[in-house]
Amino acid sequence: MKRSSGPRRLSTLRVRLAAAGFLAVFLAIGGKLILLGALPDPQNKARFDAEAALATRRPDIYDRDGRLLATDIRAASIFAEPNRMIDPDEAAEEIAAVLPDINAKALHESFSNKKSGFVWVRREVTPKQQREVHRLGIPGIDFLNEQRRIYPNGDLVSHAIGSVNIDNQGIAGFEKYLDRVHDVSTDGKTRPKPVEMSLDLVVQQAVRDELAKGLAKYKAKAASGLVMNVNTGEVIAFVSLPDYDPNVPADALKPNNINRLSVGVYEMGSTFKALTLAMALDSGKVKLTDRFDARQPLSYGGFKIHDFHATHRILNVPEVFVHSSNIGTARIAMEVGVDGHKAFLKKMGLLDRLQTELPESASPIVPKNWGTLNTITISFGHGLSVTPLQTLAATDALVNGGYLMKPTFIKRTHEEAMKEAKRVIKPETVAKMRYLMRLNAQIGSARQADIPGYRVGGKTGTAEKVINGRYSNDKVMCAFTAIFPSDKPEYSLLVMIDEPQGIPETHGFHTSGWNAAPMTGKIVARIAPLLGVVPDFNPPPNDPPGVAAASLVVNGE
Amino acid sequence: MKIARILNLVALFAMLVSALVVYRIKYQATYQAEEVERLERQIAREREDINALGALWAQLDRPDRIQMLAEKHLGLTYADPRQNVTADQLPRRAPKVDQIADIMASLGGDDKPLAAEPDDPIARTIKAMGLAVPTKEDRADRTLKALGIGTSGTEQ
Repeated sequence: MKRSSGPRRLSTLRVRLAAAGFLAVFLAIGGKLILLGALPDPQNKARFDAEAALATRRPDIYDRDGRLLATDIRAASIFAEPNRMIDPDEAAEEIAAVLPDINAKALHESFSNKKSGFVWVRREVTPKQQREVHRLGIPGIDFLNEQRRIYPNGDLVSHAIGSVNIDNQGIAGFEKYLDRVHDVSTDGKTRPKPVEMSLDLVVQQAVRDELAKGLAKYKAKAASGLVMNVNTGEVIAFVSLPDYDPNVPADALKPNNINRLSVGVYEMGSTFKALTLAMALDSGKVKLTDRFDARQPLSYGGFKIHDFHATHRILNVPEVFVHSSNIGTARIAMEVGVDGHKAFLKKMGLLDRLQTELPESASPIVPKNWGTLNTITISFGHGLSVTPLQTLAATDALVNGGYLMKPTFIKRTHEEAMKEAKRVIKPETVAKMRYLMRLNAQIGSARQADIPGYRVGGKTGTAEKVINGRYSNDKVMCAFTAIFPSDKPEYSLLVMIDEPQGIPETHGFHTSGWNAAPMTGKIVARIAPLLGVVPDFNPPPNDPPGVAAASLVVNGE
Repeated sequence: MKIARILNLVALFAMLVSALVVYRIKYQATYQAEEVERLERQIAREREDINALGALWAQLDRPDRIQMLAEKHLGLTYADPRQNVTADQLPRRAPKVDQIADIMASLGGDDKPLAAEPDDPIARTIKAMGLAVPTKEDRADRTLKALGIGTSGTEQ
């Protein structure tokens, strides 16, 4: 009994021991599984977050003719898993040898933290760098594919398109607008629908090229140019020099690279006279044939208003425009009065902040207590600071049939534009404004912009800049607004040049007719064929509308 | 009893066959699924490549780069507005002259009639346009002039 019971008891014990052993192993595995599932994994969390951020895909952006302006391409990013590294010091040294501009010390530190499961080494490397790092064969170094935003046209389209940050989020310009309207996909797979901007890349380049030449020729500080379709409110070209390459978004923040067309506010100078005259003619209080005394400077409240090109005679309305008479324009504005003037500028959108797709916009600087003296100075473009973009939008309304359209950077048709357009001017006034603008290019200060065939109309403006609280004589801001062809305008143009210098070719003059006007002429000659404007070398004569030509004698310069 | 045994055997055999077929189908389906996945990955990769090449093309096609190249190598200037005309403003096309036929005629074909019908296509064309067919001498003169070999007056 005793002999037989011994081995049996032993075997029972063995079976129980084995069962206990298996149970312990399975419990351990089960427990670990529960832990893995239930507890967050701090080591891999950084990596999962990074992968989620990489999934943002942005829509491609094209210009109005289908030329690529911005796209996402795949780029590799290098990351490290220090907890899997064998020799962190050696790894850091080898990587620093392949990527020379990396901070080797910071790399050492981040690799030595054995607990960490995910650190970026370098985002968005070139394929060549990726190959080189891959060839090092360091354990714990790996790659992630992410989408990188690139702008193949570089600085050609900078302010309008804006830029994105390293996580592909729009931080400026049109890109920021795309984020706002949720046109980006975040699941990493679907490609959002491409967006067509209103810009024309070739026109944009022509404008930028001529501005850059003008900037160098007149030794100016800055220059900007804007081309709009007057019948749709589309922005065709948007150049503000100096500009930046959106592939290097940090440059966008440099103060000298600001967007001068929608963020800068300026006293627009005599280009504002077109608005003043349109207001007076539209009110019915002033006719083309009315005459205004410009023999003596206009005195008001202790101030004296002079004419830059003094004529010392009585001028009719076209002569006031052609000679750019401050006295005449002020007297015309006084006919309408302070309230009428204010209401008109409000209606033209010049007293409120203009918001387009671009998030960067500035509010106009409007005088707080607007009296007669303000109306006098604002009539010729001093004392009210507005953005060039809103000025051109208002000027478009004077010639396109009288419709104020909000400028847009997205391609649209005339019909779409008319849905939101607001009539601000009577058609009769529009005919008169076309006549006046054209006349100024024929016999007035805009002659240097009169490119044969394209019936250019325009108005010069030279605003003295305020230096230390006083208007400066030699520091000026020159502007030129143009329309073409002026018998049936299709496009408008605004060129501004900041602090141009007088050069021998301009006989030392630094006024708009000597710099902004010829620059505009060169731009028109280049872009009109691109825009499909047909030249006409035998256009009908430019007769004043509604008036017998004989009863209105206009003496030019 | 015997029938039941045969039925059993048949059933067993059918089971084996169907298992085999199912296995095959499953295997094929897995293979096809992998193939679909592979092709999808390839399409995605090709799309990325097209995208990258499109970006590269846009970079090479930059208008300022084209302008720089044109100024450097072609010596072209901007178009004059006068070069921009509508179709009805174009002058009528000049009669087409076949210089090679002229040269051949002036070189060897002295004894052959130049404007012989019907095998002279140039003469035919000229006639069809309602113009006078030039004589042999005219054509030789024009050819020599075009080549800058002096006038026929000095040679004769």
